[in-house]
Amino acid sequence: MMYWQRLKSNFLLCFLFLVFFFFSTPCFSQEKQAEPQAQAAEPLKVEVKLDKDKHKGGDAIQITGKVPPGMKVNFIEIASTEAKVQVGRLDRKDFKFYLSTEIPAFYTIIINEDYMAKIDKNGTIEEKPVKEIYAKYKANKKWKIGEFLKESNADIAFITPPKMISEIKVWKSSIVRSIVGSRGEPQPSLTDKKEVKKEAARLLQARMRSLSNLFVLGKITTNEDGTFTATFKLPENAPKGTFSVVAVVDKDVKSEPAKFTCEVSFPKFYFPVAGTSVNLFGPLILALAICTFGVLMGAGGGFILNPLLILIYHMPHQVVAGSVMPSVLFSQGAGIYNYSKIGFISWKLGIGVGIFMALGGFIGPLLNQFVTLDEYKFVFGIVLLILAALMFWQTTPGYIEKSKKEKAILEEFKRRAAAAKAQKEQKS
Amino acid sequence: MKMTIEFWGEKFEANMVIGAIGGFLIAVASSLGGFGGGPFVVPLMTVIMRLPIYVVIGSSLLAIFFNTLMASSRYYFFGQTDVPLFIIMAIGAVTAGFISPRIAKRLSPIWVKRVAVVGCTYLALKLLGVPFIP
Repeated sequence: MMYWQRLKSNFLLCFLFLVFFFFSTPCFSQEKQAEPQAQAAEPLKVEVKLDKDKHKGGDAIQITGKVPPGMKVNFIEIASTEAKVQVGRLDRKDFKFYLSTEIPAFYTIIINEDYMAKIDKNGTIEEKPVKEIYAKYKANKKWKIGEFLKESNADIAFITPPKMISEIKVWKSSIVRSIVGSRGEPQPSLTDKKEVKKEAARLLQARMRSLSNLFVLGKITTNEDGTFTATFKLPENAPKGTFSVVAVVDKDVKSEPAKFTCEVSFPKFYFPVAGTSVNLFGPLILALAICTFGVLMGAGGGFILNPLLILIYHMPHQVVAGSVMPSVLFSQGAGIYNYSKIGFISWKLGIGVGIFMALGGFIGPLLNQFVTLDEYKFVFGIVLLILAALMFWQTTPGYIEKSKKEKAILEEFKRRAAAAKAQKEQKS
Repeated sequence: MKMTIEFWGEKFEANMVIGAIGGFLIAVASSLGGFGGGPFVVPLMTVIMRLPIYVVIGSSLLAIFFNTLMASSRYYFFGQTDVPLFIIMAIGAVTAGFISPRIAKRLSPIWVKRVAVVGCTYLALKLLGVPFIP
């Protein structure tokens, strides 16, 4: 009997266990399924919204949105995605020349001023206020964007340029090749996303120049419920077209880009190669005033016009030189025509020296691409000092006396030339 | 290497080695900067090559034109010419060509040059990054 009772109780236990197991398994499985569902229901999503779809240069843009509770927006990336410009850079270490025509005309990353940058030092993570890092790099004229992006952690917000740029052309340059006016030996273009990202940052530094143009320390306020607000002042000279705004929490948590359009209306005008919007009358009045003064001082306008366009409108020196240089062709052509009409040109001398000047004119624009803005300013500064010295010499009593005599001879020759021309015409 | 130039019945000897090297260097600097090389080519031909001003005045313009034409086409080819900016600059330059001669009669050229010396020196110091320049 005892045996049967024991067997019965064992059987009951087994049955109960089986019943429990049978009903409990779906429960476990439900829990297991529910876990990812819970994750999917509340993914780490960042929303970003802008106060308006359309803005103008100088506008303050209100950026709002929401991050998962407990998280903070640390970076906001703003890039012009429609307005792209050409930027070139000569790497002085390996003499490679990099060029891309797809660089955003405007680019900036807002960094939350309270952000603590995490620096990995041989496996141990150290925290440093981004304000300190920013101040250090701002004081350094030879700052490198790659180092700053890494140290400030802003590289996690450097998202749009690598997406926009499909390739970066590369040439291996050398002094000999520069002398013959060549950019160098063409190398395979950069297409690898990692390499493009690295070089795109350097090209953007060449384009935007200073640290404060590329990175802004700003207030990004994230509330307890996860909502955040930030304000960004679009520069007056912002290019026209579509812009993208991306809010970034960390490497994995970031928003989809929000879009807005920058409108440029008359009298403002967008200069597509320079990549800036400027009031049309500004450069026009400047050109008129400076060229008038330039002709009066006998030096043309470019000497003063070019540095002013760079200093006032922050236009790239490559574009300033490339746009001002051809503008004197008309006045030079008219001058040559007028002098040739009265036979006042020695073609032998003009063409003899002119051929070598054409050679120089073949090389100069190439060097213009190779030099940085600081080097350009240095060369221009020296040229202007020489010009000032030359003009000072022209105001000395000795020179004035000499020039009076020369002017008299010049006028006499002009008269003779005109008379001879008139005689010839009468004969014919 | 000397080259004989005949100008209105007179003969001049021009040192073309100096002319070639000087012209080349001026052209490199001026096309790099994007300005005409007039104020430098004229002294090169008059002071260094010792040619009289009446020979130089038209001929230097022709020589510079070679540089401007070559550099402008290179800049255009390199994609560095902003056409609207060029048009604005050209309007300014051409209009200045009409205005200047009218103003020139009323101004002392020496004073214009003195103002230019101050202006160029100021700009040069600013470009060279000399401290305490506003």
